[in-house]
Amino acid sequence: MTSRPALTLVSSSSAAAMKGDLAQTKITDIMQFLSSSYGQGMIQVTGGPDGHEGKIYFMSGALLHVETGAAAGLDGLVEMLTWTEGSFQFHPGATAPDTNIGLSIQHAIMEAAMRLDHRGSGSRSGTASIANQLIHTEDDERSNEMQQQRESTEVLNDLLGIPGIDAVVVIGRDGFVIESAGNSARVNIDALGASLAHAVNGIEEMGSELKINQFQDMFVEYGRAVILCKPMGDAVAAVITPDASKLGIIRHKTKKYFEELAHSF
Amino acid sequence: MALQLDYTMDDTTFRHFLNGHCVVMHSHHYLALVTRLVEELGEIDGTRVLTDVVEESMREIFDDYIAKHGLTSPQERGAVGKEYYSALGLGKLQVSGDGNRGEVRLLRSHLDEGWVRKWGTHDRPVNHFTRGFIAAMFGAAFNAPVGSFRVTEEASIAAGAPEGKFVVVRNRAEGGAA
Amino acid sequence: MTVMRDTVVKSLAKVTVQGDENGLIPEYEVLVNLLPVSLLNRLSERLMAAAPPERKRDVEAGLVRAAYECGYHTGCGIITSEVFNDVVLPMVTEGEKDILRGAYAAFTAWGWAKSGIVQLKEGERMVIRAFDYYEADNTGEGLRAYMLRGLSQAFFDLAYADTYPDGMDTFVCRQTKGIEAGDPYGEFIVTRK
Repeated sequence: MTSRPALTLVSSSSAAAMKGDLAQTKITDIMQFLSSSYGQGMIQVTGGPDGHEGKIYFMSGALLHVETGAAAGLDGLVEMLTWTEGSFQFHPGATAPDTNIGLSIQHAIMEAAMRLDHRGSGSRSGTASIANQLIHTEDDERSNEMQQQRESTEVLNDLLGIPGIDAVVVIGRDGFVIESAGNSARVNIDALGASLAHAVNGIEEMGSELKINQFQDMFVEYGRAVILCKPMGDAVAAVITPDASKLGIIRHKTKKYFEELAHSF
Repeated sequence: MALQLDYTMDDTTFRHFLNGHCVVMHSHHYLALVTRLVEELGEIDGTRVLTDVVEESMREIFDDYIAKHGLTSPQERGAVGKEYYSALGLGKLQVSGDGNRGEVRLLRSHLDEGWVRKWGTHDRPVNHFTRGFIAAMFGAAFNAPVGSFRVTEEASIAAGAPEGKFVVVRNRAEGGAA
Repeated sequence: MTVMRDTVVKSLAKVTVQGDENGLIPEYEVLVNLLPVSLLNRLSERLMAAAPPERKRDVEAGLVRAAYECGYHTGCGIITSEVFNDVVLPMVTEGEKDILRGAYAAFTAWGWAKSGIVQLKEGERMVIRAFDYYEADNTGEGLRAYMLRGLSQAFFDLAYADTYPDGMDTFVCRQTKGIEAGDPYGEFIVTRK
């Protein structure tokens, strides 16, 4: 579970400000905590190997603007995600100079984390491991080593162990519910499987018509609840979270399990 | 008497039910091969196993229907078996007899006609399934315990006869009094 | 687009067969019957229990064979039937794979087994899961879903072996999990013989 970041409340001449140490908490946790507590503000971060400065502006749960000395927008956030040492200070009420992102906090974190992963997989795995550390939480002590293929049931149970995931379901492309786990008692799982299959089919047809890549992810938001779908060979896995604020972390933490699950289908 | 047929399906398992009893569709290939299998199991009297199982299983279904519809006369109670036979796609029976003996003509037969389609005519009767069915039908009609009637197949469509003939005799040694 | 299971199940589940004026049900190029599952399960239980140890494999093979030939011949009639043509074929875009998806939707709709394809390597291997099947009620020992083994083998033969009726016995199906043995679902793997 995302922990409350280590913050220190200090008084200044004009208003209360908060500051803290990046060695004790993560930028992603700070962003999520502060955006859920304050309507608007700016997180000023000093970090990275050369002590760069970065600024993160948000308003009403949306990430509006990010800049560092070297990059701006999502690329700036990607850069800041690699800063594991340094300090930050929060300036409540600060207004963004302009908008260079415009995504919800959760989606912005998720996209940045994925870009970081892709960057890592394109060069070396080291960068991806930094991202993993950034979104790592205390309860995640599982080994990344998957020495041998496990039963899909075990993988589903591990997925269910990720905080914020309410139910997991794997369906065939025809809508056959191959496996499900979690709090699915309140839903008709067969109907859910059929609906997801129809939706995925529609999306694949759209991609085919547009002559673009095969679909990789699908997010469906219902208020605060989100269904995240991912193709696994001839099957589709879906996780259901009732709390969209955890989506960034969920997406990152499910990645290795989805990869493992893909071997089963 | 017209048998009331209530077909239902469980929305979760998709199992099908006829008058509350789970049923499943098979073809003549299945019943013909099962019949040949029990014939090959002579050392365990496989044909007897089949007739006993059919009698017990169908008897439960007949008795259930009879109880639910409050049928009392042997004619009404016996007609349940006859009508079920046709509703299940097993063929057409013509039944006569009383609580001690009877005769059943098999005018059309799923098993015999299927057997002939699959392998041609046989050198002896093979409809052990219907022997068990008739035993259940007579038992239900005359409210006699399972095992009360012995049924023999004296003419067989599978063996080339135009229709089947089954002779039913009350088995005093095994069954109870009428 | 692929075969949508719910569409097939909803359409085929409405199909009810019943004896005609001769007490017969000629459908799918065969004679069909409706048998109580209590009878079918009781028969396999009694035969297996009565068979001496050296004959149990023969009984098991005989029960699977009955389902196999039933599935092979009836299956051919089903996939060439008007109802399959109307309901399933319009959704087929992936050839045999979709035919098999349609077949397992039909198995489900007709109450044989709530089952579907988990993995399919065309012409080589198929893994099936079934979350309900009538042989799950069977009391006895070991894995006992003879019917579903036979049907799965039959439909893979129909899909990937030589054209009907020359493709018999090209593949074989083994059961690896069973509800009747305490597993959460039945699992069946079809491979080349």
